[in-house]
Amino acid sequence: MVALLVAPLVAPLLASCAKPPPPPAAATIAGMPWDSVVARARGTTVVWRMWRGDPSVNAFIDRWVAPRLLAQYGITLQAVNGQGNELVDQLTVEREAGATTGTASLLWINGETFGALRARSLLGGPWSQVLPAAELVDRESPIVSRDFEQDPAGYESPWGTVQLALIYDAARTPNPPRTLEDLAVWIRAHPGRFTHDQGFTGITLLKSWLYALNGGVGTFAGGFDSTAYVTGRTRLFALLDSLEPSLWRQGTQYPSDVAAMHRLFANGEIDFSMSNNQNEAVTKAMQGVIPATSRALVLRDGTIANAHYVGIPFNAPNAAGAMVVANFLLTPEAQLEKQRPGVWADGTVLRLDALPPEWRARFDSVVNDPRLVPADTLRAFARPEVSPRYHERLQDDWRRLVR
Amino acid sequence: MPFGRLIRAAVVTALTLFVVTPLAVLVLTSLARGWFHPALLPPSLDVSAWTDLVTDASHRLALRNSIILGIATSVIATSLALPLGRSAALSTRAIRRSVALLAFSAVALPPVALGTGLQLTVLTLGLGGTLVGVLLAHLVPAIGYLTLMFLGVFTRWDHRLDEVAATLGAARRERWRRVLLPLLRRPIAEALALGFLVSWAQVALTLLVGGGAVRTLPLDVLAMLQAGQDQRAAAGALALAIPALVVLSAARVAARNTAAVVP
Amino acid sequence: MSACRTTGAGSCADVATRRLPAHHPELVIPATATASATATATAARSRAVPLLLAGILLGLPIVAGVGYSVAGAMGWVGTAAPGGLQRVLADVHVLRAVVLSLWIATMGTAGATAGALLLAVLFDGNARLDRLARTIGSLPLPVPNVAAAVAILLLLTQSGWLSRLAVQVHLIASPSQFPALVYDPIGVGIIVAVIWKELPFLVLVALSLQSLRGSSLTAAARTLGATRWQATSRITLPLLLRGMAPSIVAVFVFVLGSLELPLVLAPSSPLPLPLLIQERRQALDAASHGEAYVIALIATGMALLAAVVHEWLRDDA
Repeated sequence: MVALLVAPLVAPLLASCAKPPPPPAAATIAGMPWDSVVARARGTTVVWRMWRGDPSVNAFIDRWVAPRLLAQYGITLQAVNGQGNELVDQLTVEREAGATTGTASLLWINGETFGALRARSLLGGPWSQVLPAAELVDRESPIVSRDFEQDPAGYESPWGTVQLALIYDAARTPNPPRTLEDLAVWIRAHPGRFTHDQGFTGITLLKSWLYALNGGVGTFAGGFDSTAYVTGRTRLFALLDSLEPSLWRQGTQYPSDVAAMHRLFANGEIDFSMSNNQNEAVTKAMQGVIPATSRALVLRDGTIANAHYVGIPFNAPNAAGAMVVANFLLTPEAQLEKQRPGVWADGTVLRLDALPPEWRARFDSVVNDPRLVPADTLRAFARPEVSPRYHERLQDDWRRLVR
Repeated sequence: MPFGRLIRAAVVTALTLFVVTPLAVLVLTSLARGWFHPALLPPSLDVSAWTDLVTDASHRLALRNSIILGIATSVIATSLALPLGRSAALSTRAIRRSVALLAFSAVALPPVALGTGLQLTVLTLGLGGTLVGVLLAHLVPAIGYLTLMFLGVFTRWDHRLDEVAATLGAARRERWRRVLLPLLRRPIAEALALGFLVSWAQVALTLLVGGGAVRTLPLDVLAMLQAGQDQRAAAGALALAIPALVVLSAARVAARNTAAVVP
Repeated sequence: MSACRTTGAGSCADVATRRLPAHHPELVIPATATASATATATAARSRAVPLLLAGILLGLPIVAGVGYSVAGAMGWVGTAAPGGLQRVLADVHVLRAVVLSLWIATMGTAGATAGALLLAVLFDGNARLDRLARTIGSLPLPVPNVAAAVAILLLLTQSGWLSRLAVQVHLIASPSQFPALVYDPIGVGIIVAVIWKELPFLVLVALSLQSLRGSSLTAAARTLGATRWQATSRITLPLLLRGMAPSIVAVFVFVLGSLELPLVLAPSSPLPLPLLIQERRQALDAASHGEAYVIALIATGMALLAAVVHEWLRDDA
């Protein structure tokens, strides 16, 4: 009994005294033949730092991916919390402290997080080009081949796509506005019934509006242009200023994250919630978090679609295992399961026409599930991400000037 | 006086409502699925949040970590704070003041301010993201609280019993075993309980020093709340509160000997 | 051991060498000459021991923590950009954060103190009602801050349980008509949570003070003709407040630096101090990093000031 209590404490203490040599880097592992990578990974543990804020995603990872990884590759997957700035901060501190062996081997990243990690040389690689399953990835898609206009360059491997959508209650709002202009009119006509969160999703919505108000995403494509940004921002903030008195709490307070938005929406305090995942209306309704009559709405001016990726940190203890996991996530099997409405409804990164026919048929039936937003709608209104500097500047400026 | 009795009854009622209502809402929320405004009672009772708490592997891991950290913190902190508090209490006034100031600072300094420095220290020691690293961080406020507690205990202590035993020829170990420890049973029990609670409830230090790799029950509750899972967050919050209530009543705390602080 | 040393009596050393049986009725007369030399040596050692222990166990971590903030603010470590101090002092968000945190800590502590005094004065007897009140009042004591925050959140949001009750008794019709008690700029929800959590602790402190000091003073006042109210307000309350002063300071500083309650209940603007530090520290640009260290030092300074005040108020040193 005492041993049970003492062992987890003593083991790392002893391990830290031994000070083993730093583990092989991802680039080194990527140079080995794939069979030997899989062999190295067998019997090991992979700690994956990811967003753990959704039970559906957690269930997919813990109850579908993890058992299969164990059975097929002998890998024990441990998914722990960590995303965005937290990861950058943590890895920076680890490098400062000279921690050549970190705790996590795999990270769920995209956009500005990827940018910051690359800028500070906190990612290992290149490695994603050696994954066998990477052949099926849709490289033509601007959403997948460029991460916020950045070239993954082998330092991250894609694993899913999402598109921003508003969520409304068909019972309360049978005729929701479908363009930004109509939405602005609606907000003024229904004071106190609309807001957005201060986190990633809220800023993404503001970015969508930034594009729409300034001649579309083309104005901001091709790297960060300070003049274009400032002009665009002025127009956006002017709109926000004019809407402010009609927002929830007169725009003096904003919910901290999407969960808070869902809470307000479900309890009738506001009439719109939102999510980076267009099918969250379905999954959250199934979890009983929002009413069953909730529906997704993709604004006709275009909403932002982006992909999420996995990366390997510079001090990953198990780069081989991480690569096997990343490869598994790209298999048609895993991509299909992930896309099921009852599971997560997360978009695929695979080129569907490159799949063998029976897989193509299965994907088609899932993608065309009536509960999900139709694929054509999504495609028609998808807008890619632009340089992460826009997101950073918009977030900073919004916090300083509007909030 | 009937007016006085009325006031007392009214205050007790108000107090009961104030204390019990938040806890009752927690219980109801933990059992409610799809419970929206303006329903006063849940539409149906659903125990899935509670069963999830027990069956989910990651929750079990978090619970295990919390228990291990709690017991380790309470035992180690008590063993260290007792001699520290005693030797300080028997020392000069200036020493007592300095030790008390240090101990109080360990508790009063915001964890957000302490946290980054502690994290760096833990990482440099090669203990980043391990349970031991987080334990070291938890020990800082725990030793602070308990030192203050024992400082108070031994300042009011009647040392004459100890002196008489010494004069009568008892060796040091015997004096501890037969005189001091039996009399200290109650303060030691309180210290163990308090040390456990400091670690059990800790959020900021675990977050900052564990770097997200070490999951504890309070972190899980926060994560569930931030994920919009109110039902599970409520169940987790109760799972957090009930053992704390049990531990404290088991040690039968009275603030008689506490010099200053209990969170 | 120490008891012998600090009283300066050499009796322990002498006794040990003579090895008298434990229950020997003889009392030993101290030998003076050799005893005083040993006494000074042991006295000096005894001064060193607690300081050394405290230095290692408490001082080192504090220095590690605070030292890093200082080094970070100066730019000696980390990725912070210089000039943080000027930016922070000019930043209105920081000022508002400090004001909000001080406000919450003050109101929460004041509320808990007032409640504690009320309960201590009304329920200091041994009747069933007194013991019931004391038991109920001590329930929230061990409840962790996170759990308390979740409970208060579910109770007080505009669509929380109280709001639903208000709708059921036809006081309001929609959530927006319920006052904003959570995520509000004056932190009402946090203050309520603070009172809920800290009132039990202060009640315990007050009650233990009363039992220690006894009621002789109030009894004397009554025999001299004071009414119950006069005895209470002129004697009991001031005495209690004076005795509770260190605990009140402790509660104040603890609330000031705590992260858990604001994490769940705080508004987005202004941000309470601990959340502001978190936000700036995790930002990607170097300027915010430097500011985070400076703000952390400000918070540290306030806490150290409170620690000194607390020690000055403690009177049983």
